[in-house]
Parts: sequence; structure tokens; C-alpha cells
Amino acid sequence: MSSGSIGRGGRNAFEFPDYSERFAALNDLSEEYLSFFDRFASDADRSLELGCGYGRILLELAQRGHRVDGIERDGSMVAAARMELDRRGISGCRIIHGDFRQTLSAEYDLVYFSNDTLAMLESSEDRADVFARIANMTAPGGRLVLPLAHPRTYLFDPTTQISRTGRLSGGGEFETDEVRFNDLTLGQRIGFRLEAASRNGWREVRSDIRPLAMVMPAEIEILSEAFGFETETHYGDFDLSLLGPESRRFIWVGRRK
Amino acid sequence: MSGGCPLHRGQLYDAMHKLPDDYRSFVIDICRGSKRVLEMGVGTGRLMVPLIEAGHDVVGIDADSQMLECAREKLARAGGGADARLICADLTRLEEPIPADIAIFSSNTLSLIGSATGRSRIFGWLARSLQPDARIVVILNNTARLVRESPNRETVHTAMLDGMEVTVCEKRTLDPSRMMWVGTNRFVIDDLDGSKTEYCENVAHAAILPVELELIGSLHGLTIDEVFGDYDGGPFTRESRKLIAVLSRKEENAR
Repeated sequence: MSSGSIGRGGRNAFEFPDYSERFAALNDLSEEYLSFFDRFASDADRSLELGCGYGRILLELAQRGHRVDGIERDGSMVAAARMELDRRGISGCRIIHGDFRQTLSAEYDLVYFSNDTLAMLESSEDRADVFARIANMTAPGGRLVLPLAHPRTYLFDPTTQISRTGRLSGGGEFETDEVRFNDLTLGQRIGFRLEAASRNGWREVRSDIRPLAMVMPAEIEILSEAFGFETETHYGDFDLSLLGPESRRFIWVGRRK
Repeated sequence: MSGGCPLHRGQLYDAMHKLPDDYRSFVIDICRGSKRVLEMGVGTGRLMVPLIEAGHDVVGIDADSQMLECAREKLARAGGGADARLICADLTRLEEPIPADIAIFSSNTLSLIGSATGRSRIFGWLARSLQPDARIVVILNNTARLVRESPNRETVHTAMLDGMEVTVCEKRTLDPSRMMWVGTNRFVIDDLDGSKTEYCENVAHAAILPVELELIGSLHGLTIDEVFGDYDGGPFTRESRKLIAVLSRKEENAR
């Protein structure tokens, strides 16, 4: 992954907004999205979010009284999430600094990704490895919730263009423009992304390249069986609609045998 | 699957699908040097006879008894008709090992296995069953090319069978949420006496990508040694017609 700055901001320009601000500008934390996870967390004594970031979902679930731990590999996000837990006076939730390979001795009744995060692991062998570790951390009967991109979103076109704009919480605007090259032979979507933040007449643009895997339904079927899960439901979106050819997402929910 | 099909499925298959020369020579070439050949999805035995003629011991497995009937007849005609060489079984439920030096999934056999776990289970059995230095050859259509060219396709073939004219209209649509080609085969049979019979069957084939073979391989200690894009041995690209993968056991397991 590479990152560069081609801004003309200069020394006195505003600071490029951090990840949490950028992410929040583009993604509304809708009630529908939250209640999707809330519903599963309500069924669990202890939950674990893999790749919890700065705790966007985790903090809300914790606020609603759920006992949720999170794993995050980015140290600054771990610090932000911990600080926010303290600020809100929430106890009983842990943020663990580590990657998906981190194995916790605890057993959870719910393990979830809040996004298409599994696709950030490029090799299927790595994803299989993560699945094995998840299985070790999931109590018998416990659930795994795995939201993924629906294959239709990358299957039919060699490129996908995604442009999004939102307001930054500190004022100003944030835009992203990403072109993804969908390569079915490699099973990869390689995204070339420009991110632009504008505020008070300043504008700064950054670019990066991020490879995302195409995690296919067949892969989830194979891995879930190999590591002792059984499919409970396939959802097509966070509104709990069932999966179909035209759904927005592919959300797999399984239970540990 | 058949139910009301008035024709013998094996004969119908042979009438509709001529064995391409390049396919036959590819299989003969790749099996050279491997004495015992296991053919997964042997069907009507179109490849089995040439393989036996080339000096191999061949075991063919297929789930469809009507197709196997045709294979048996072919073997008998070729003078090599020992029944023991054909096994009627669900490929995903094999248990007894069959030692072989090479296993070949004939064209698109693997995509006929609708469940991905079933596909994975077959490789688990092969990894346990085959000789340590054996190879596994998988022949599939290239999903990448089919998807881009025609996610909805319709083809019509006509062939003569015992004086009857048989037309089949095949319709396929890709369901991306399941990665399955779903559709129908509609047969129209014009008999000698002028009567017309119609018959329709539903079909579902998995759209398999190379990443799936990698994943299945890694779960069962197999590596992909070679990938070809066609029977001429050319490289596999998104434009290739075929996806042909050759797998073997990882070295540490073979020792």
C-alpha cells in the first residue's frame, strides 16, 4: 500500500482530517446499521468486533449496555477508542491492540466484522487462517457475522468508479474518488483512490492504492464448514432483507457448532 | 434430473457434444507417464476409451448411471469392457481410496457439484487417496470470460439421433449472490412419424474462480503447479476460454 500527498496546502494549511473524521464524513451511522449489530449483540453475553477502528460501532453498542471487546491494529485508533470508552464512563469493554491473527483466550458468543474488512486480507490462505482463529474464539452456538461486498458489485464490469462526498465535522468538505480494477482471474479489486479535503479555501488531495480481495460466497461456505460453523442466514443488507441477486450486500451469519 | 426425458440421457449427450480433438489430445498428453488414471465425471466415457488405447489403467467415476451405461457400451465395443473400471457414485461422498497417478476432472465436472463444501470434500478425498506424487487436473470454463461476455446466454444446438431430430435450447443466467449459473435445457424432439415431444430440465452450474481452487488446495495440502488458458497449453488470462489447473501435494506432505 502506498500513500502520497499532492496537496497545494502549504505549511499553514489546515491539517488533513484524521481517519475517524474522514470516515464519519462519508458514512452515516444509521439506526438501521446499528440495530443490525445491536440485535445480534442482544443475544450474546460477550461480543468481539474484529477491526473495530476508533470504535464507531463498538462504542454505540457498549453505550447500549452490551459487553463488547474490540481488536484493532492501528495504535492511534486503539488510543482513540480507549479514550472514548473512558470519556463515556464505560467499563467492561476492552480494546486490544493487534491484528486479526491475534488469538484471545476468551470465548465470545458473537464475533463480528462491521464492514467488508475481511477483504483487506489479500491471500485466501490468510483468510483461512483468520477463520481458524475466529473459530477458536467463538463459543459453541455463538455467532459470526460477516458483511461482504455482493459479488454483483464487481463481477460484471472491469472497472467500478465510486465517488462520495460528505461534510467534515470540523467544517469543510471531504470527497473520495476511487476507481477499482476488478480482476476475476486474480480475485482482486485494486482500488486507486483520491481523497480530497477542503476547508476555508484550502484543499488537500491524497492518493493511495488498496488491493481488496473478492471474497466469494463459495469461499465462506468452504471456510465455515472447515472451521466448524454452520450457515444461519444470508442477508442482503443491514435492513435484514434476505440475500438475492440484486441485493446491496452479501452478509453471512453463521453459528459455531 | 431426467424424470420425463424420453431419450436416453447418455445417447443424447453424445449426440449433442462431439469430443473436440484438442480436448482429447490435451488429456492424452497430460496423462503421458502416469499409468493409473482416475477420471472424475467420466460420463459417457468419451475420454476413457482413448486413454485405455494409449495404455493407461483407467478408473472412471460418475454419479449418473445412464451416462455410465453408454460408457460401458463404449468399453465393450473397444474390447476393454471390465465393469470394475466404472464406478457409479456421488463424487462428494467417496471414502475408499483409489490409488492413481493422475486424477482428471473432465471438462466442467467440478462445476456440476453445486455446493462449494462438496467440491472441497472431493479434493480432501483425492489428497488422501492418490499416490504422493500424483497430479490432479481440473478443467473448467473461464468464469471471468463468460461473465463479461454474456451473463445471460442462450444457445441452440440441433443433432440427429436414431433418425430423430433433437434440438436443445440452453438458457443460462448468472445469479451473483450464489455464483451459480442457473437456467433450463429445453429439448424438442421431432420423431420420424412427425410427432413432437418437448421436455425441459432445470440446471445449475457453479461459476468457479481460480481463487477457489487455491483455497481448496491450501486446505487439503495441495498446491497449484500450473494453470493453462486452453488445451494448447497457453497461459491463463481473463480472455482465456478455459481454466485448466494442475495441482499436486505440497512437498512436505509428499515426503
